[in-house]
Amino acid sequence: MKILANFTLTKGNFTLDIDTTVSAGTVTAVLGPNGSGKSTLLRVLAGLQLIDSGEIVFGDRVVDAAPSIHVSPQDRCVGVVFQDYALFPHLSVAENIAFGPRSLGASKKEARNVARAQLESLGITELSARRPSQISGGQGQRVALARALATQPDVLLLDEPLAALDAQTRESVRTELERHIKAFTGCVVFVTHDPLDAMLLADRVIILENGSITQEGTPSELAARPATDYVATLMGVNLIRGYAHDGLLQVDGGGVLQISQRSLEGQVLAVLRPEAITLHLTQPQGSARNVWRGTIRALTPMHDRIRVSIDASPPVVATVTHASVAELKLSVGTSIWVSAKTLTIEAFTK
Amino acid sequence: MNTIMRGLLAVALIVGLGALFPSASGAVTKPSGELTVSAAASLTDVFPVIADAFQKRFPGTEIRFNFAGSSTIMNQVIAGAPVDVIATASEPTMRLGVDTRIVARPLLFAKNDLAIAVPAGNPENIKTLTDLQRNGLLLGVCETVVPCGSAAAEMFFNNKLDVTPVTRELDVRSLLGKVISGDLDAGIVYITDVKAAGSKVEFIEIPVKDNVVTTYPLAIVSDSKNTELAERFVNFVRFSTTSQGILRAFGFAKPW
Amino acid sequence: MRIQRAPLFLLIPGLVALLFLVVPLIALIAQTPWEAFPKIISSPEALEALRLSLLTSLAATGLAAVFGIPMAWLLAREVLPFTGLLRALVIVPLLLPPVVSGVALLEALGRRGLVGGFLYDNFDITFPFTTIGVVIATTFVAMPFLIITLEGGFRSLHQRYEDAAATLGANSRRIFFRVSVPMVAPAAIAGLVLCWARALGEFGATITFAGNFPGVTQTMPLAVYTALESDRSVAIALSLVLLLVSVGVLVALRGKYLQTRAS
Repeated sequence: MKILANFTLTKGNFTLDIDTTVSAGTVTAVLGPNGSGKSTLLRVLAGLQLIDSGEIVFGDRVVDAAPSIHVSPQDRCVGVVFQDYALFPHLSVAENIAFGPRSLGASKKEARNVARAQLESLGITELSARRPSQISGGQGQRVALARALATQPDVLLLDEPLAALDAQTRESVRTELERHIKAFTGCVVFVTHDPLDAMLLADRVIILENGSITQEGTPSELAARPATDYVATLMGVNLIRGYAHDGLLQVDGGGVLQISQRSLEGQVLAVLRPEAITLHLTQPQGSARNVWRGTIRALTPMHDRIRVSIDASPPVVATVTHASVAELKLSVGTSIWVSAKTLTIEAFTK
Repeated sequence: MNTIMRGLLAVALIVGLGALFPSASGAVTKPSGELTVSAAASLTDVFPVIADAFQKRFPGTEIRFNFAGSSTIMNQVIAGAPVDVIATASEPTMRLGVDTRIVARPLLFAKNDLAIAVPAGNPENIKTLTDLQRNGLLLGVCETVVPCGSAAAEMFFNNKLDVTPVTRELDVRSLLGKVISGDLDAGIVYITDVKAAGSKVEFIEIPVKDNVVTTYPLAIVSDSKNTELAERFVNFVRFSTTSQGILRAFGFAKPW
Repeated sequence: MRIQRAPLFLLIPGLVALLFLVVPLIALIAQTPWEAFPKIISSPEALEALRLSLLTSLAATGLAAVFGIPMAWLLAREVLPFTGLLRALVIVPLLLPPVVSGVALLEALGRRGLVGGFLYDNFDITFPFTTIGVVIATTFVAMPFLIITLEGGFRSLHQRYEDAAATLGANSRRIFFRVSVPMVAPAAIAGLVLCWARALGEFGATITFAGNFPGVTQTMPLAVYTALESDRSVAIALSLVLLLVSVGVLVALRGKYLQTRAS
């Protein structure tokens, strides 16, 4: 069952303008900075928020058509996992999971059976009688998922499913989540601010910036050809804008780079991966490479390398090993030579 | 100086000193100061008028009032409330004060009769006491602890009437209020209350032979800080023609 | 002992407050005529008044719950227009002297009242001088306590839970009774207890609107005030009964419901 969402919604100064399709059986991640409207989009799909104009279609059923049609959340057949899970504190884990089936008319016995099955499938049977206040964050996430799945929804919506977890738990839970999401036959749409979630879990990514979709595509498409600075930063690549002519890229804001795509003409974007950049204390010699000078602005440690932000024309971010930093005696303010092979710069028209 | 001269000088000195300290000499003096008077609720309208007259007659005096049910005000005084004069609508209540030595020498200053108050227009067409026995009639009386209420109970008993009031109000003004608003069909109140309400309420007179009389005593509270002024006031209320004239105008009768 | 850990600037005023509230109660207990006590409280008038008080206060609390809980929800979710104004109107009975509330009720529901007149003329229904009148008067003054306490409870209930229930297929009735109300249970209990306590002690509005007649409208507070006019020791004895009943219920509830809260 595919989802068609083509609508606008204005709240105060903010307008959410969406026009997209989610194919049946796929997993879509919605990525965006805070305040971009991701959660609002999810709430609209869940039926918890009215739209101002446009329509939303689930399969062949119109669930929203402003201003007259609005199918309530109860009738929409969606399962939602909320940020912070929203587990009912006065009910046990099993009762939480059974809540959906009971609401839809199942008898107490039937609902209990469904709950038991869900608990088993998610491996949390031992939590059955506990209260939400007595379980951990990771366990809560699984209970929330079980509760949403218990009603056998057509669409599964997750709002920042891993945000409430600490770094260690996140890894294991993400793997688990991947398993269940892939097993789910309907559409899955989840909202996240962590690109790793998108890369690992999603078939397709929608980038939402300030209420509008700025890019849609597979994770690798986004990584290869980021359309905006936000996407580029997200994917951890350098995005360079400029004017290409005859194999030379005139960078907006200063600098000239050689590119391998000789046939490109006009305004282009170019991607340069941080790993492809080498740093030197003295000007390197040799051909077939771009060389320019800059000053180190910041050094940011990552788990096994160091991210070096460099002010130059163009400014770039490079990643180097700890050893290199020590060897070159790099620090903030150091004057440095930047080098990148022509082949490592991928230019493309937008 | 000879003896006669010394004698005359001494007399002159004494008279002179006497003139300097007038109260010490015990001569007739002007009353002044403040008085606090606790009085029964049914005196709410008449007493301030009498007080005005008193204050005009004796400028420099000020009378403050506290109106409530007779038992309430007596209880307050017994508990030590700083009151100078107390006037109740019940001799037994006053006797309580005498027995506990809180008050001294009460004087009867007025008398009141009961009447049947009905809403303007007399919607239930009540003419006599026996009409009050009618089924479904909403009759109100005062609680028996209130003088008006005990008088009403006594009156019904004396006349062998079988009435069922729907309420026993705690003060006669509340009772009258409910008659005026039409929530009650009839209420047993004092003739003075009826007069005070004017055209808002109508009343049916109860013949003297069927009626019960309430007498009003007033007395000085023994612990009063201004017994002289208190005595003045008590005498004024009881004996002055001004005061008795006001009482008559309000519907109170002579107690003797 | 925890007292030693409390800072003085809080401990001293707190203890003063405690004394201020407790000493008059102790004085009342000390003045009780213990020899006559059994006779006084077992008299038919006293039992009648107690029965009436319990009956009407519980009925008033029930009515307050049925109408006040939805009102509290409506105010908390700001569903109606002019919510601020409505909230202020709901608080008015708290601010009015009870006798004035009684007068207002007479103007509205008395035999010649705005609504009461219509009811009397067409259906021969009256409320003053009836036990129902007592329930009306006490509900009027006590319901705002429930509404205000519970509105706070609903307000602090995050919308998220009701949203989750909706996405799970629950209709609005199920959401309200299975999610919203259970989750505000502590505030609801507190509100109901407060409401009941206020109803039990109500005097001014009751006597003004419903009148004073033993067995019909003379609740405990009215009986106490009546006794006060004639025999103070009886009044004190009756007051003590009221006190014991109230304290008994509050202590019983405290154990049960404050425990649930802590867990």
